[in-house]
Amino acid sequence: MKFEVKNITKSFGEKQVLNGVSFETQSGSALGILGRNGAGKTTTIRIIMQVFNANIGEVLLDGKPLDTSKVNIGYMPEERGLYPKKQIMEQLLYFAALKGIRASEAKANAKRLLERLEMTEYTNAKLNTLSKGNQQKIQLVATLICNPDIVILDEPFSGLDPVNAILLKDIVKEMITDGKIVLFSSHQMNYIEEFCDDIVILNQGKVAVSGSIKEIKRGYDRKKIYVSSQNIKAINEFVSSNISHLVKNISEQGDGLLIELNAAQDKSQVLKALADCSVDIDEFKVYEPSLNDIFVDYTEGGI
Amino acid sequence: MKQFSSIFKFELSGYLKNKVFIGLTVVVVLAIALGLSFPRIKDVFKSDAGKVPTDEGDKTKIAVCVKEGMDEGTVVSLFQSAFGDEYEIKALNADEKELTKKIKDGDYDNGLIITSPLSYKYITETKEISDSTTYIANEVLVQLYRMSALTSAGVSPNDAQKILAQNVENEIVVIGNDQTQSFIYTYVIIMLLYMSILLYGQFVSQSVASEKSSRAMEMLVTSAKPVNLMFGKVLGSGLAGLLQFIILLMSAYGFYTINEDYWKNNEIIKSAFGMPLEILLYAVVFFVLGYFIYAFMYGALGSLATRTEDINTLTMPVTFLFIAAFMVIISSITSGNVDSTLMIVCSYFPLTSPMAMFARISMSTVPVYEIIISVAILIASEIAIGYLAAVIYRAGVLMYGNTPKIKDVLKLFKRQKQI
Repeated sequence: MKFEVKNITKSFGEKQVLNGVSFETQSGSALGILGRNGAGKTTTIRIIMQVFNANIGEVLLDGKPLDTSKVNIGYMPEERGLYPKKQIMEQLLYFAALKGIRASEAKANAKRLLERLEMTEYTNAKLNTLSKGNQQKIQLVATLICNPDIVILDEPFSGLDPVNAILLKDIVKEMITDGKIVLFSSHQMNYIEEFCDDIVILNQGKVAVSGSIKEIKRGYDRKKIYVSSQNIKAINEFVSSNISHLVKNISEQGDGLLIELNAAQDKSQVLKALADCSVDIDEFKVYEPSLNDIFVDYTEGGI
Repeated sequence: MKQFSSIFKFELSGYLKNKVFIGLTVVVVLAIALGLSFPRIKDVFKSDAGKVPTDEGDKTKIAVCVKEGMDEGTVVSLFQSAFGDEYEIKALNADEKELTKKIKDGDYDNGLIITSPLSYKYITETKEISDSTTYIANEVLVQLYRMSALTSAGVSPNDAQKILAQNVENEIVVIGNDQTQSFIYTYVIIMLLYMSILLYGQFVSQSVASEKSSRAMEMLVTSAKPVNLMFGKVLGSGLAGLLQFIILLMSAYGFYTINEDYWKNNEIIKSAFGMPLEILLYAVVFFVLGYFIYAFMYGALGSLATRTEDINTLTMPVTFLFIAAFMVIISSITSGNVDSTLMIVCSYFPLTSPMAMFARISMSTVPVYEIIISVAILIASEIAIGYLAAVIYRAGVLMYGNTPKIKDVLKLFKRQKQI
């Protein structure tokens, strides 16, 4: 299945929240929607879920407009919430029934998911007796109980401890292997980088960049060099005094130096110069930007 | 349809599993049982005490101070026969001061000082609401005065007695409703309608607002159609309410039947339970119809609340309207004029017609076509308000923050193309 968001524009009153947002993904891959607070991530997701209607634009599944009542979609809203005073199993079955899932199937799914998330002991507990993180896991069960083809998770990692985050990560990976379309928004770049092939970075309601992470990274000029050494200071001095005409900027990062060159083709010159210097060098490589760098790069100055 | 029935069942079972709901029903049924069995319970205690012969002290003692020149014996015996066995009438020769002292000391309960054939002073420690002493004393004194006037005009005491003893006989033929009979049960049913519609309406707005404040809403609106959510919720609470309403009516009727013999002399209770079956059916119909129209409005308003505390502010206009309608209808049935222009208008206007039309049917004679028109208007407006409520609900549930103004709500309609 191919999932497309085409040219979505949305304004609330005077305020333009989304302006021509487009992206696409398909079965068996995960798409991460990134953006700073207020960039329009949740609004985009809510438009996909038809909580709001877009002013212009459309959401397509295999080329046809997406009908949320016909396609099985598992949605975990950013505003988490279930019935605090009801038993967990009772409300899980209710949400499944709303999606049109047969009671026997819903029960089996609920059991399986509760077990997978190590929550079986709370089957008959009331939701408000659980900790926040555990309530979030129940929310995930409610999202996945309908065995959805499309899974949309709005900030799924917020509020989870590292162990639970790994659990969720594994579940998301399983869903990708199962050939589902997974869409989620997050601030946690490390998780996104781990299992998203594609990302969309939103900034002020517009798509700042979208596509596969690898290609976005490749698209960056390869003019940053990372040099690590036991004696960074000496290298720093060497660079500043001998090849400063090639260098635009120099900064320390971890055990090494990040050297930004004026031009990418000067790399070999720098390598030669450093090879001849007396300081011991551990590592010399072209610096690949992290997702974090990309994110900051595209969203800085916005909002 | 399947979705609607899931929602309906979930809402209904929410009530039937709710301890407060069950507790409230049990408490009210117990109160009804106790209230209607009260004379029997009283009787049980009385019959135990009955073995001890009633003491003179149990009677209400009234002292009568007669003006000089009046026949003390006749006055006392007339008073005694007029007051009956519950009272003990004694002649006393004392002035007001002495009598007041004796009443204060507890020698007597009350005292009458007859100052002239047609005037007297009544002295009592506590004037009770049901105190009929002056009423009886007036009768006796007028009787005495007329007797002496007739005899002094030359009529023999025997003839005078006969003349004064004449009574008029009458027979009342009621073709329509007898308001003296229907008033009580109409009043009771209107009260019940008022309380239950208000209560269940509030329950609906409470339940919508709590789903919103617990943020379960976004899960719901993305899983189910708002029309199903709204109608499922309203019908679910409605059936719970109807069940409670019927349980209360049936238990009242049951406990009355058990204790019927004990209520023989109580006209109010007797007439309340003398309600024709037809009227009871109308009561159920108007409960259902009246409930829906208010429940939809309360549901829609509940969806505009951010927190459950906001509900009261938001529902105030509707509640006030409902209270005003209730006041108009109660004052109309109390005055007996249930066919006034105001009441006729009220019996067609959908927000007042459930109570107003019921009052008219119950206390007056309403042509069938009027009932049909009124019910038709009511049902049509209910469907319209139901859909409108679903639209407001759909749009309102995701509005958080300040309590919206009417202007904002109108904007929602423009924005919302589909529900």
